[in-house]
Formats: sequence, structure tokens, C-alpha cells
Amino acid sequence: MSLFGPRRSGPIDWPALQTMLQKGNFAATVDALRDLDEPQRAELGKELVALRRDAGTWFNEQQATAYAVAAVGCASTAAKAVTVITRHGWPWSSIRTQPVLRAAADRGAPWLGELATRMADKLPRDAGFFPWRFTSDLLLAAGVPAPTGERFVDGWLLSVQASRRERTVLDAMRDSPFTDTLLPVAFERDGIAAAGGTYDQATGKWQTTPDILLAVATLTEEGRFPRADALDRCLDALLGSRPTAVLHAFVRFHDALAPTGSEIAERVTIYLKLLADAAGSVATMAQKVLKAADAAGALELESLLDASRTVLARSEKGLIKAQLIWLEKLAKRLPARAAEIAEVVAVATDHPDVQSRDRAAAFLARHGTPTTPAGPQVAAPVPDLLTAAVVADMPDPITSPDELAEEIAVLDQADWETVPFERVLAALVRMHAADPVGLRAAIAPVMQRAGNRIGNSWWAGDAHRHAGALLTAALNKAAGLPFVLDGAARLLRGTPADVQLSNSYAKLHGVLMLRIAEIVVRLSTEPVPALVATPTQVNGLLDPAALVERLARAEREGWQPWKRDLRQALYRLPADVDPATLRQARTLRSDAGRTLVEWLEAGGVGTPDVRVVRVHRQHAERGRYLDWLPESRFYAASTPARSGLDPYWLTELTPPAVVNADHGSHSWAALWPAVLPTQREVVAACLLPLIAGSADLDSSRGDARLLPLLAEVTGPVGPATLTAVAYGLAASQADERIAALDALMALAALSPATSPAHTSVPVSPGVSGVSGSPSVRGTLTPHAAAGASPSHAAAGAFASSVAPGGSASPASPTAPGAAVSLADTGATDALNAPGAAFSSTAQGAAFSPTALDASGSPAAAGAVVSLGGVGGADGDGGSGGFDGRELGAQLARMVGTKLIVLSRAVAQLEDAARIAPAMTWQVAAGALGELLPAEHAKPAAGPVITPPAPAITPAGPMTRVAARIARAAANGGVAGASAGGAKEATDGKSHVTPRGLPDLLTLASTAAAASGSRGEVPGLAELAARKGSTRLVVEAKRLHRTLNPG
Amino acid sequence: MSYPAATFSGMTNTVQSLSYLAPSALLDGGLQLQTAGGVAQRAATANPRFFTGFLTTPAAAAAGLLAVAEVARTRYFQPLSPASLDPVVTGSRDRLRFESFSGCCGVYARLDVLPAGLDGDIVDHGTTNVDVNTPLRQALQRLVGADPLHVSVGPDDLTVSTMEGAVVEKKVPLPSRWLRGFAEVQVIASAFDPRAELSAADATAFLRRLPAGGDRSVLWAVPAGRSLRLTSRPVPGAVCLPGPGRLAALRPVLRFAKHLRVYGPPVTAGSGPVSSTWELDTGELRLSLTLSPQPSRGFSGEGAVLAALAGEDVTDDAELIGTLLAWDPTVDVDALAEQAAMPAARVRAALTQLGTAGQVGFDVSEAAYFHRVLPYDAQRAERHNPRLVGARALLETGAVTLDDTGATVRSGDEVYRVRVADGALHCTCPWWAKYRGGRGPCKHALATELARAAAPAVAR
Repeated sequence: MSLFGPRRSGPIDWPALQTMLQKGNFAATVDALRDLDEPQRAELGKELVALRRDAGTWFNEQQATAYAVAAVGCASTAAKAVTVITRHGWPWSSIRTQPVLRAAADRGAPWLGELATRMADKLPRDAGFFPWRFTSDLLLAAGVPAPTGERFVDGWLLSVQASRRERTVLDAMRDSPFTDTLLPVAFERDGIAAAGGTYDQATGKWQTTPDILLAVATLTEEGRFPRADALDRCLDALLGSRPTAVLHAFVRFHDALAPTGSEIAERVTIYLKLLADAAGSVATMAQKVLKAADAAGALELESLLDASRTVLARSEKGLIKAQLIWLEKLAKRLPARAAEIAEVVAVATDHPDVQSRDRAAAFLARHGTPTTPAGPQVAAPVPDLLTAAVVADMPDPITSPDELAEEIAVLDQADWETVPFERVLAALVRMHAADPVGLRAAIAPVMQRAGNRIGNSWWAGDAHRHAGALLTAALNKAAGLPFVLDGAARLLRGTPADVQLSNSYAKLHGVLMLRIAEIVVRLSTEPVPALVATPTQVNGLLDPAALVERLARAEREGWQPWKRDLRQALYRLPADVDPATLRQARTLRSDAGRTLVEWLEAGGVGTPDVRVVRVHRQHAERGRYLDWLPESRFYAASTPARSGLDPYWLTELTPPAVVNADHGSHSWAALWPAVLPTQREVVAACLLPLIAGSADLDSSRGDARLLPLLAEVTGPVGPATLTAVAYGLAASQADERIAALDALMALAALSPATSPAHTSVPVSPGVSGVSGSPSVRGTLTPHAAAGASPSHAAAGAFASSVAPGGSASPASPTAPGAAVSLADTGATDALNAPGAAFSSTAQGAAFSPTALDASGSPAAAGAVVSLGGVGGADGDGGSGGFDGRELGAQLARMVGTKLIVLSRAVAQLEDAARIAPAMTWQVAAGALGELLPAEHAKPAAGPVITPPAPAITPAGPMTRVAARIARAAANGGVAGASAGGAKEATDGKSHVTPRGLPDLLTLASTAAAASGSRGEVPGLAELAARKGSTRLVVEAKRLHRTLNPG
Repeated sequence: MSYPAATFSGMTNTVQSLSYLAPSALLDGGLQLQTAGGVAQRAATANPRFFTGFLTTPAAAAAGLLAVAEVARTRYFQPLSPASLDPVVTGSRDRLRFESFSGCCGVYARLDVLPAGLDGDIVDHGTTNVDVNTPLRQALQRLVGADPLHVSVGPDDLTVSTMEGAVVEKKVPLPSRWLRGFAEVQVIASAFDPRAELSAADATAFLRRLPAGGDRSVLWAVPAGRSLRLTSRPVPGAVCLPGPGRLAALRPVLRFAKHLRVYGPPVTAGSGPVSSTWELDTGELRLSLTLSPQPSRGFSGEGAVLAALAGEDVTDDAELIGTLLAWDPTVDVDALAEQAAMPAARVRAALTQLGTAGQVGFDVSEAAYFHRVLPYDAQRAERHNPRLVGARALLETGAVTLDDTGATVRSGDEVYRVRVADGALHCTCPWWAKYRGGRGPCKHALATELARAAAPAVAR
């Protein structure tokens, strides 16, 4: 049986055939079967049909062809042949047709046609072109009519697009033997709308065209396909609920068919139905067609008015506008029917869209029908329906090892959350001290199943992997399974660089890691009966009285709480402690007790100074693709409070020198807020890069879904929180924007600033006055002069700075400051040990926010432009409450510098306006106060732009930054290194109105009217006084009217 | 019970062959919906006839019927099975109900044509398949006008006499998961309460604001003012909106509707995703869509009926109650309890059991079961539920060891611990960990339940 052996003399037997099949020797199979008689074939066929496919076996092209040859040559019926073919490689291995046809011809099998038809039924969805080609070859060879099943039609539609380089789709359809049979059926399939792309040299863009449908239009023109049929099928498709892309393609098909007046006249009822019911783009097309038909006198007024009733209740503003204009013309043309028409138009007077209402009202006014002014102007002010986040108490602790085992299994499967994580840690330590044997028996099976998956996923970043490995080690240790002690021990010994955090914003993650590492190391060497840091509330807060009690218990029972556990406990204490608890704490005698008292007396962490700065992307280097990163991004910087205790330096945060993107899973980030639940701003600062990613990165999802957690922790609401919310409102994914809205509502509920009492806002005396700065309430004056105004804390904390551009920067964009390490000085137990963990060791490339603060004004020489004001959070004793105007102003700054898309945020705020109009008005007014003055900014003067502050000689890192900026400027790299606003003013480019600004004005009117708010917005009066009827001006006038009634 | 026009082959994937006497059509004589298979009360026929008369709101009814047919043709999630089945119609005493299930098993659609929407004679009661073909869909799409439209459900005498030989044969694969979905959905819906009612204008605005088509996120909607507000996390009173794009089938009917009503089970702040029903009411018609808890989850895998199936004791009750059902538009539990002389709780358990066989559906707007008999062997499909089969296998191999606090289940090399907590069985397997009871019991819990049910008998 060797390949070169003597030619076989007798008929082939089954084992020999099977070997040929396995080798994929299809040519030899054809030869071997050629001379067999039917009984011999039947015998082989029996074996062949009985052959099962082993799971996991794959067949290449040769093997699949060989089996198909054998099937055609030996199977007794078509059905059996199909079974054999589909079992061995079909449809994923392509089968060569010629050998199969040859074998069929050799045998003279009468059922080739049946075989082909059956194969057509077996065509898989989405399998592609090759199985279809094999089937169609069989069909053509057998000369049977083409089956019209949907799979076969789909394959045919693929086939006419295949090898497009050699022939056009049109030619393929002209030549295809199936065109006449399958085309009528193909209109039902979405595949007929498939788009082909061509590169347009002139515009440099890809153009997509529905190639097949356009080819059908040509075939129709040529008379190959009946024209009336084509038009009817097109209209049927447009009436149906097909995907939008398919509808678009059919609209183009309709245009290509260019129906004549008489063809349209015959189908007027269908076009009216399209106008009333079909998707927006289709309805617009029908509207045009019907207008033409109307002009030609082919449309009855009654049916048009019937349809108009439905059209005027639709949501597409453009469609309604066009319909009203059309009806207006009709009313002029047929004055006798004007009353009838007006009756229909009245439908639109309570349309949700204010513009449509206005148009309808104007129509009615012109045509003599008394109108009742609709809309919210007449309604009584609606109070905001805001409910603060309810923070629940922690659920009861885990009671049995079985329950713990179940909760560990959940950690393996569910999203990471504070509550289950803390409950598992607490139960693990407690049960290991009380009943290690029972614990081991219960959790070992679960840990064996979970392997090292817990807290770890293949897409996770390094820091998350390390944390997951630590947790797995802790659980494995308790389960009596092999575990890795190394990492944890090194972490606790405090060798620097043992734990690499990707950047300083992952410091909270480091606290979690230290805590787990401590469990790994001390679980059996220094067992404690309980952890002391387990929160009493689900947001991570720990009731001081509970901690005092836990420490008292330790004293009674004579054990020392673990050090990192105690530190975490302290970070979880609220800022205010009642005197009774403090007295109780002072009775403690242990080291832990003294540490607690020291912490309480110092007021804990205090209030750090948090501000946001704008950081730019590094200029592209040779061979490095950076365009996927946003051009710039806001980061938060934090300076610790002078009086506070902060052993881990968690409140010292330094922005990177250039934009970087921390990729991978952020699953652990959901636990961060509960590490520092009293410092909303610091938590927001840490989450900010993750949340920004949801708005400014195309490629990945960010984590704006974490935003509601910010509303649950405590502490002032400041620039970092507001910037995070602003990014979230403009996130690219709908569910993330909704999460941002949740956070916004919950934050607004915290604050008295948005209560109706505050909605009538005193107007700043300096409106559009002093140095032309836009000002809302006089508190937002976005330049250094605002330092003099009685601003509250948050207002001053928006700073914008510019990172060095140019390839001169030594820092890598993905890891500037990457070597943030946590070193824990194991020998020292003092809270504020000099070398305490988490201090940023990589300030080389970064500039220090401390330096900004020290300089009195966040400004620097050259291109560094200050948009924000000054003032530390400690300064004015600001309430720290939520300020809607401040959020709006920050939104506007981010829109102005093109960091976010305004229209996304506006759509979200429209939802907010329904529930909390007063709060929404605040936000909208804040945004308009920043955006409207820019509309008046002609090249000459830019009132929104702050003139660069006088150069200050910055100290330390600033010098290097400034020097680099100067270098970059000298190298001509200044373009990327100027703030958006400055760019417009300095190089005199014309201002571009942000998309969505008219919508923002509409929203402001709606919200102001609903909440009964009054006030002034800088730049509004000028805009409203402009001539013209652009949407921007019309909406400005509306808002002006709303704010200044009568 | 017999299934005249349906034949089955194979265990998991049966092929249903339907013989319609003629294609359904919208002609000058009105709408003729052809039927095949199923059960009728008065005459055992392969092509039952339920109604002849007029639809009072034809445009809305046409849009509703199209919506039900559209759901049957759609796969909202990755296609796993090639099901494309005709809707099912039930003729009860005063109304017609059209039901369908999406190909992905994640959306259940029902159009109830209420007494106000019908003007004619209910000829017979029963449930059958109704043919919806392409020309019919196109004709319904083109339907305009407000004049009452004549409609017949089932072949008229003319069809029977003249269409001999022009039989429409349809063969559709009938995957068992599709059937299980039908059985699951009414058990799930029976726990729903009304959560919100929106006016047509507010409903239009709300649905327009929903994320577009392919969005697979799980959102929640809470009543706020006159409308609903979307939120990212569950709160008490919220309704889950999983895969909001799946509500698209409501849109064509929206302009006829007077109200949108929303139903869902009670939720708390920590709830996982759950099902919900979104119902448009025009006064004459009600179109409702019931969504599975996640777009990736079909109702078939929800396991809500598994507990009912595991216990055999209610089967006798179910048989008794089954004989008492009489195609009433809603099932009155108290009246049944009186008739059958058993407590209402047992009647409800029996109804659940009947639901697993597709013999009752649940109407959330009436908060009541209704009688219908699915023209498929749904009970058989449920009995072959993979989880139940797995549980029985575990039990047979002696894998379950009961003790005071629960049981230890050994499956191959793995050891699972099943414990009793709050009256339910919890497990340490990954599947339970993922859904935590939100998708019915796991097979280890089921096996434990079976073992516990058997144990006292052995002791005795």
C-alpha cells in the first residue's frame, strides 16, 4: 500500500479506503472507486455511513474532499451521502468540486441533484463563501433548479461580491445563473444591502456603497428585472423593521430607481405609510417624494392631513419642521382649507420638543386660530426630586465555614465589591483563629476549583495580578493548599520596589495589597481573633465606637491588632468623632489604643488640597504610535493637609508629565473608595484616569460605572469629583453615562446649593465687565484675579497646565512615574515614619502640585496657561457641597478644549432636567457662563482667555518643566503645547461653536422654566440681541425670555 | 393528549411539521389566518378554527401581529438555534392571544386582542400555530385605514372546500430550549407586580431615549415623576431593563397605545438582573414583551420551574386542575380551589406544574393565569432539562450525602457543599456563585432536594 507500490489488482477494501480517506488522498479515492459495481459500493457505503467522527478531529481540504468523493461514490442514498459529507469537515473545510463530480459521473449516481438540494438546506449561517460554492457547483452540474432557502440565498449574495477585484458586482450578477431565480427572494435578506467600500483619493476617505442593490437598479434599468417589482419590493423593505444600515441602503436603491410621477401616484398610500411609520431617514425620503407628488397634484389633502397627524407626533425635529413648512405652503395655496390644516397642526402644540411647539404655535397664530400657550411657562415650578444615596450598614458577618466557602466561590465569579471582599477577609481571619481544621475542610474544595483565578484575569494589569496572587495565597494558606509566601513577605519587609503600582493613582490599591500580604504572613504566625478594620457601613466607613470596642477587646484578651489592619481602620474613621467616644478611646492603654487617640486628636487625614490640572499627550516619537491617547486629559493633584496624619501618604498625588493610559482590568478599583471613605476628593482623584478613559479613549471602556460609589463616600465635593462626573456624563457608552447621572443626582442631593432657594442667583457685579472675564455669580472668574473675589474653595481649584510637548521629553508615555513603589518601613511603627510608604519616588518627569501651590498661582512661563484660579481648599472654609455651576463650568472647559463631546452630556442632562430642574439649571448656567462669551470672541480679543500670569520663577521640578516648554517652543513644537482657548486667541483662528450648544440653551430654558429660576448668564444678552434665525440665536432668545419674563 | 400535526424525531432537536390548508393572506375578503396543529375543544382537527368576525382597530392589530411575528423571527443574542417558528394563537372565551418567542429565547411577545378589539364569534377554544408568511407580513405592513377588518382565525369553509391539495407544509426545527423557555416564562412572570404606568407621550419619550439597538447592558428604570428614569443600579421599586434594544419591537405599536405599563419582580439594592414585562395598551389590544434577565440568557436556562419539576407530589393535583381548566380568559384560583376541594396554595402549585407543560400562561396585566395548551410537547422538553437530568444522575450514582446542615455532593473529583440558608439551598459550585439563585437551583442543589424528598420515605 505504499504510495509508489504496485497498482492494486482487486477491488479496494474498507481498511484501504479508510486509510486513503485519512490521508486525504482524494485522487486515489476517485481512481479506486471508479470500477466498482453497486454491491461493492454498497458494502463500502455501509462502513462509511457507520463511521463516527471523533470529537476534536479536524479535516483539511484534502481529507474533506476525499470523504465527499467516497460519499458520492459509495452511499446508497443522497441523504446518507449528506450525512457523510457533513460529518467530515463540512462546512469549515472547503471541498474541491471536480473530484466529487468525477466520482459521481463514474458512478452515474441519479441523486446528485437531490444531494445538492439537501446540502443547500444544510448550509450554515455565517459560514462564508466556500461551502456555498461547492453546493452551487453540484446544483449546476446536476442541472436542478436552485433552492430558494434563505441560507442558499445568503451564500449567493456573498458569492456575487467575491473576487471583486476581478469583476464588478454588476458583472457577477449579470453572469450568475441564479440571478433570475434568487433575486426576488433576496430582497427579504439583509445581505442584499451589503456595502462595498472604495477609497476616494480626492477626499481621502472610504466611501461605502450598497453595491448589490445598485447593481440591481442597473439590471432593472436594463430590463432584466421588472421595474414595478423592484419598486414594490424596495418599498416593502422600507416598511419593514430592518436594521438601519439596510434601510439606508434601500433608500439609496430607491433613489437609483428614480420612480416616475405615475409610479409614485400609484403608490401614494405606501409613501404616506412610510412618512408616518418608517424610520427617520426613510420618512424623510417619503416626505420629499410626497411633496413632489403633491406639487404634481397626485396627493389628496385628506390623506395627507391624516398622515400629518402622526408625523407631527413623531420625535424627529427635522421631519416635523419640513412637514410644518409644507403645510404652511398648503395653507397659503388653499386658504379655504386653512382651518382644517390648522386643526391638524394643533397636534404639535404639545410636542415635547420646544422648537416644534414654537413652530406650530406660530403657524396657528398666522392662520387665525387662537392658541393656548403650551409649554412649561404656565406650569408651577417643579421641586427637584433628589434623594441622597442611602448608605446601608454592613450585613451580618459570615457565620459558618460553609458560608465562607460559598462567598469565596462568589469572589471567583462576581464583580468585585467591598462588602463581600471585607466579609471574606474578616471571616477568614476569625475562623482560622477559632477552628482552622473546619475552615480548611470547607474551603479547600473551592480553592482547588478556583485555582489562581480569584481576583485575577488574563487582561488584568500587573498591580491587579499581584493583589489577586496575594489573596489566593491567603486563601490557599487557610485551605491547607500550597501557597506562595514570598511576595507577601517581601512586601511586609518593606524592600522598596517590591510592589510596583502603575502610577501614584493606584495608592489605594497598595493599601489593599499590604493588608492581604499581612494576612498571608501573620495568619498562622501571629493569629488574631478578629480584624479591626472591617467597616461598619457598606461604603467603608468604620464607626469609631466600634473600633474602640474592638481595641478594648484586644486589650482584654491580650492580643495586638495587626499593624496594617489598624492603619486601614484609622483611614476609615469619619472626621467627626463624638466626645464620648474620644473619652472612651483615651481609656485604652495599648499601643494600638494610643495610636487611635493620636489619630482622633489630630483629626485624621485632614482636608488635603485637591486641584485638577490638564496634562498633554507626549509628541509622537519615531516608531511609536500615540494617537490612540487623548490629546490632553485632566488629572488631579493632591497636597496633604499640613496638620493631618497620613502614614501612607495617600493624599499626596502627583499627575504624570504626559497623558498615559492604564490599561487592563480595573476590577479592584471598585474596592478603592472603601479604603479611604472620608476623602471623596482623593478617591475621585485616584479614579479619575479610569473614568476619563470612558470618555476620551475610543478603544476601551473606562470605569465611569464606579461613579455612584463617589456619591456614597464622605468628604467635600470638589474639582476632582466634578471633573470625574463631567467625564462620566460624556462617556461613550450609554450605561456609563447613566451611572454618571446617578452620581450627579446623588451628589446634588448632598448639597444645599441646589435647593430652590438658591436658584435665583445674585448676579455678579462684574459680569462681562472687569477684564472681560466671563463670570457666573462672580465666583468663577477663571483667572488669577478671582483670587480676590469671595470665592469658595472649589472654584479656585481648577488649574490647567500644559505638559511639555516635543520628543525631547525623556518620559515614556505609558509609564511616567511608573516606579511608584511602596516601601513599608518594617522596623518603625510610628505612624509618620520618615520613609513611609507610597511617597512618589518618580517626580523626575512630573511637576509637583506643591510647587504650584507654593508659587501662589498655578502658572508658569511660556505656554503654561492658567484657566483656574487660586486658593487652597483650606482657605475659605468652603462648604464642600456640590455646586452645579462649578460642574457646568468644568464641563464647558472640557468642551472648549475638545476633551469631551458636549452633546452626549447634554442628552444626559435632559434626563436630569425632568427630575431635578433646579439643579440642572445650575449646571447648564455654569456651562453657558463659560461657553457663551466664547461665541463673541472675535479674533481681536478673547475674554475667555486669561492672559498668561506674570512669569514666576518656579522652584524645583517646575524649573525643568518650564525649561522644557521653552525648548519645545523654540523647536516650533508650541502648537500642541498651548491650551485650546489660548490657541484661538493667539493664532486668530475663527471660533467654532461646539456642537450641542443650541441644545444646551434649550435645556437651560426648559430647566429654568420648570424650576422657576431667574438670573443672568454672561454673554447671553449679547447673543440674544443678535440678528438672524440660526438655532443658536433662536435658542438664546428663548432662554433670555425665560430668564427675563415680561 | 395528542398533537395531530406535529411529528417528533430525535430527543433534543425535534422537527415540527405543520400542514396549513392555505397560506395566511390579507385579501379583499379580509385577513385570513391559517392554523395548523394544536388543540381545539369542540372538534379534534388538524386545522382548528377559532374566530370569525371583525377587528375593530385593524391598523393597530396589524402592527401588533407584525410585532409578535417579528420577535419570532429575531435573535437578539448570538444565534444558537435556527428556530423560526410561527406564532401561537389561543382562542379563549372572549379574546385571542398571539404568542411568540425570539430565536434566542430571550424575548417573549404576546398580543392580546381584548373583547373590545373583536366583533364577531368565537367559534371554538384552543391553541394552535398560525401561519405568518412573507406576503402576509408585507400586506399587513401596507395596511391602512380605520374601517373594521374582517378576520378569520382558522380555515373558513371555502378554504376547506376549495383549497384541497394546496397545502402549505412547514418544517421547522423545534429545539427543546425554545420549548423550555415557553414553560419558564409564565412561572417567572407570575412573581411580577405592576411598577409603573406611563402615558403614551411619556412612553414615546422614554423609549426614544433608550440606548440604541445592539446595547447589551443591563439597566434599571425607576419611576420618577410621570415617567421613568434610567439608573445603573437597582433600588427598591426599580424595574430591570436588560438589553434595552430588545424593546424595539414595541415601537410600531407605540403610536396606537394609550399607556405603557411595566411589570417586574420586587428588587432590592443588591439584586442581580431580573426579568421584566413591558406592555403597551391601546384599549382594544395589549402587546407585551417580557425580557430575560440578560441578553445572553434565554428563558430556557432560567430554571424557575426546576423546583416544581423535582417534586413529584404535585403532579396529581396538576392533572386534576388541568381537567378543570375551561379556556376562561383568566383562571380564578379561588373558584378552582372550590371546585377541586383543595387549598388555594396547592392549586397555585398545580398551576405552576401545568405551566411547565405549557398548559397555562400568565397574564401580568390581569395578574392571573390563563388556559392554553401549547401545540408542542413542552412537558417532555422540561423533563429533559439538562440540570434535572444531571441531578438525577448524581442521585443515582449516590453522590449525595445528606447531613444536618445540608449535603455534600461528590461529582467526579469535585466536592460541593450544599447548605440550607433562609429556606433555600445554596451551593459552592461556580454556577451557583455566578447567579446566586437568580437562575434557579444548580444541579447539586436539585440533587440534594431530590435526595431530601426521598429520604423520609426511606426512613419510614
